[in-house]
Amino acid sequence: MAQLIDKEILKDIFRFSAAQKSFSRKTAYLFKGLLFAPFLSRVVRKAAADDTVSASSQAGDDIYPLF
Amino acid sequence: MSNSAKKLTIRSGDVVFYQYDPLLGFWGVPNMERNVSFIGMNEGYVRVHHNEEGNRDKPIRNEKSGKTVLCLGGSHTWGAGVEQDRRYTEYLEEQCRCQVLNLGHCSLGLDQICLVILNKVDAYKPDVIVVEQYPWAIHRVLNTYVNGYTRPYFRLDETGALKLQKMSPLSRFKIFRRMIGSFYTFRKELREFKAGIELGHGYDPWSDPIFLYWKIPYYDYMYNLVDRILTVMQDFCRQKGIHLLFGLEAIMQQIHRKSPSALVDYELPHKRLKALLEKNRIAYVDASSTMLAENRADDPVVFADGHMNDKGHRLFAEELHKDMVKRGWLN
Repeated sequence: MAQLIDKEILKDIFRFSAAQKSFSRKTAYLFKGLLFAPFLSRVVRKAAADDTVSASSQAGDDIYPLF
Repeated sequence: MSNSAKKLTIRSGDVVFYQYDPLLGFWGVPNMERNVSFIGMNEGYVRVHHNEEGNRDKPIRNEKSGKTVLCLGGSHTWGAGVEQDRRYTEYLEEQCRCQVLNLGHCSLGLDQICLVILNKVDAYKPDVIVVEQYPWAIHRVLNTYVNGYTRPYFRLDETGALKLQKMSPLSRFKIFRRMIGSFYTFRKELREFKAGIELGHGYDPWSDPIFLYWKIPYYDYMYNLVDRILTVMQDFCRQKGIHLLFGLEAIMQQIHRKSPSALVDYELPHKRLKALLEKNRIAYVDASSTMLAENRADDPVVFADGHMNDKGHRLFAEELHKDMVKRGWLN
């Protein structure tokens, strides 16, 4: 679980849902946040990996060629 | 107006003219004809007809005679609220006496326009590409889910390299688009929350954070992204020998109100976009001063929601035409 979900993301989700104005929105945002937490964490990990790879890689399927 | 076409009333966010497109996320429905009433714009009905490619334009002509100007943009280019022959593209065609094509689509972002240029324009062999950009709408490069459609998008990695995030093949199915879109929306709202930005409930167009000086740092990433997208567009056009011209209109906030504070600048998106166009040596026409000068309470240049009306389209076409003549692009 610790690897699947980033702790900081989890804290952000709790803060974000707590900041909603009504109880129903707080619940909905918390539910959605927990559902999406693994994907949001993956985005963070991917961004960190980009940082490592990009210095050595100039091409790839999703790196758009600049003319 | 054709009486045989179905009648329809359109609100902002209606997607009746769209369909899924694997390359761009969404594109116009081909061979569609409707009589449409646009809420908040005009009274009565406007005829909307899409050609066989899904563009609100004339039927495709394969033979090329003279210069071709290809116009790309969002709902202003598509002509929300106005008849087809009252759009800037049709006025431009009259003034230029050359073929002017309209590939505008509502809610199209600059990143999608870039993908159209890279993937579609070769077929039209244009001499000039005009990109109409309503400066406020530049934020669309951050919106990855629009009106029920996910779309491809560019992003910058940690080193500043531009990457294209293609769409999942599952996006062709509405249910998956909703699921992916729900994730994209949550991710965007969370980012905005962390930056102290609230665009959802109680959104006020007069204090949109894109105009606020103290929110500039949040939008730095967006403008950096736009900078790289502009570079790609300009390089492609240079390689193909196509002239690229941006057209910027006055936005609703500039026209309807004075800024309430020195820290709220309705010209901020104009200024930052123009700086990037200059940096990339891309030609542009800023029609906002002309539009503001010609705007009258009893004879406005835009509808209440900021879309150009007939007069606005005419002025915009004149500004584009003058600029292209000055540059000698129509000779």
